[in-house]
Amino acid sequence: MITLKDKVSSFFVFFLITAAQIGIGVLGFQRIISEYAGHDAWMSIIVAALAISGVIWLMYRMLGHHEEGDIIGIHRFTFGKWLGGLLSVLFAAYLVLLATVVLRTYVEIIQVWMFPHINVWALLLLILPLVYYIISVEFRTVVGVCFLGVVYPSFLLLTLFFPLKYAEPTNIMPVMDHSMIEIIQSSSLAILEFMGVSALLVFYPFIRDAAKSQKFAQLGNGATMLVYLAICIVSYLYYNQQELTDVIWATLGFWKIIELPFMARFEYFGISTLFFSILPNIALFTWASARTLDRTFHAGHKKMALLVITILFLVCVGMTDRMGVNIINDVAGKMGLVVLFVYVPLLFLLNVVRRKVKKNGS
Amino acid sequence: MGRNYVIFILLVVISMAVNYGMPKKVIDQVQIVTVAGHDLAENDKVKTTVVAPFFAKEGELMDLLYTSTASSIYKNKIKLNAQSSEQLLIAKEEVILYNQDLASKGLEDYVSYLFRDPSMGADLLLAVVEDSTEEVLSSVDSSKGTGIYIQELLEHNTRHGHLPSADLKVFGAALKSKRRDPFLPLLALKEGKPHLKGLAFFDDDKLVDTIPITKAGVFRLLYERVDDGQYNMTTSDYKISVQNIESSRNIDAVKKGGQPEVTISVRFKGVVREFSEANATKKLPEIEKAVEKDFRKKAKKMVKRFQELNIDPLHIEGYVKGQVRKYNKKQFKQAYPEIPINIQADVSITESGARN
Repeated sequence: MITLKDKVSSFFVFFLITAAQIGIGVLGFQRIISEYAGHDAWMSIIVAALAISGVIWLMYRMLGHHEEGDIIGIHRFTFGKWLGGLLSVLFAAYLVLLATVVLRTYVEIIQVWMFPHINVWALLLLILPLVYYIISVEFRTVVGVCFLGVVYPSFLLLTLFFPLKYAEPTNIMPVMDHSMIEIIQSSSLAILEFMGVSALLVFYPFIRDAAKSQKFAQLGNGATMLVYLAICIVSYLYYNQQELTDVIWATLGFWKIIELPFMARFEYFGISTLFFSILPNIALFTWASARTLDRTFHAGHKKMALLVITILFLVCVGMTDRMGVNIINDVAGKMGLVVLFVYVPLLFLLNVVRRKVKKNGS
Repeated sequence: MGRNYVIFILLVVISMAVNYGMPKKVIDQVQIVTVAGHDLAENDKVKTTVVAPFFAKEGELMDLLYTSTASSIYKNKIKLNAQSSEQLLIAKEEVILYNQDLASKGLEDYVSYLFRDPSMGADLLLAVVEDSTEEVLSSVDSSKGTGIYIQELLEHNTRHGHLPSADLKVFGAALKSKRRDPFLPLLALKEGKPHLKGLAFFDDDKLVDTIPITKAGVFRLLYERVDDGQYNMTTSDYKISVQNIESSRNIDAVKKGGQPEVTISVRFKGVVREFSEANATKKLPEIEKAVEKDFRKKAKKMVKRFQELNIDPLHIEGYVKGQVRKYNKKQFKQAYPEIPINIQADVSITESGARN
């Protein structure tokens, strides 16, 4: 049972949403989203954010009607115990996949940029106990990590000024050179960067005055959009489109030009600081996954947390190269699209119908 | 609870212990290469020369030079390491030199390793050397060390001289872009000392043209905003030197009768420092006109030459793409040698120094 003590102030939804959305994607999304809309792809970030804003509204409408107020309750109510339970397990799996994408990509960056000889499994033994410590007891700890995960790395935004020295305005001219369809196609790829919002379906009941917290969720989504937009526009000024197709982590490339009197390479510092940005991602997704499983099977949160973390560990160790990382990134992106834009609206409709039926029945 | 702590600490210890065996690089067990030169050798091989400074004692520095020839740069790395007493570390290079023969053959294969290696800084400088890079590298005798010496030679000329700013980032962007062509500084040996000879222009990745450094000033004014430049002119009547130039440049493209028409406008202001006649102050308007005319003439000639060679170091195609809707790449490429490129100059000379 969630007591008042477990709940957090609705203001923290802002940090939860922003921290869940900004993660490993900031490092390399520029190349991915420019596939269709080229140098106009920065506009597709706005389109994607607006679409996500609609999904958040839909989620609040749906969650507000339920006493338990999370996706497990809605599943059970709408589909019954068995089908609902199955869907909850699938949703938990999707959350683990999101955590895997984040963690494995971060480890890959450490491998490529810092320690090419590092043992992945041993590095994970360093990170995962920390994650377990965050998620195993209270949700409030997760919220704290999310808060710091927004605050600490935020100063990295200042590094966006350095690449402007090389900015070529012709790179993004002329504006609107691509059709609306191409921009929307690109925004379907940009959705991947906003996918973290699906954790809302699980942590909703932990928010005080949850129904009134929507404005903070929307603000959080807006803040995410601004961060991505700033990074994207700076990248498109800094790289020309042909160059961008070659660069895997465009944002890390910015740091290559920063040379400070006391620091020859900023990347090492930047990548280390980014850990604070990816930790809330992993913590929130694994927590949400463990909670979903616990609510479905009533097996105890700690046990489920341990299970989720073990799965995370095994999948991350099993994936050994760039190909694998690329594949899970693609799969997660496609699944995110389906979950947010097909499944959530569908669930919303079915839920409305089910409520009507029940009302008429009683 | 106590058991949990034990497990946590155990996992952390295991992690540390396993990764402890990672190969490490300790500063006094490596030789940090500051500059490398690549020459074209026989049978399409590449001869690589690297220089690593060795600090014998406080304030004293000895440059160690290694050379080897192989079919690829990383093969050379093996051979070079086979000669050195410590591991040669190439992550902190300041300058990479290529000789002109290699550059004429195409540089793409020999620069790609720089982009692939994330430890390479984007402000690494590249330059072309007229003859052998090995000779240039062995010719430097400076307490700074060869790498820093050449780096500073290029850097101060970029800050105050005729050399347009070009580093790995700029070169790479121009090389990758299909809408512009790169250029690099050209070094050569003069009486046994390296000097900045001029600029080398590339068609894609192949060197096709060079200009002397005295003429590079005009290119620089056409290419970018200059903070501290110089302009010299000799007419039949007088010689004049304009210093402390601050400039701005604008490229405008319009479509006229199906053809793009490009106008490069350069505005600069500076002060007179050398003038072979008296009463400069009175003649300033006249001088301004003369400088404008002279600049337009030199710039036109330079642009014409680029068009004849079908190279685009000024990034004109980028501006046409940016400003003319429905720009067609193929059409532009065909039309480029013929399109009208106008030069506009607006010179203001603000002072004539401490004398009239």
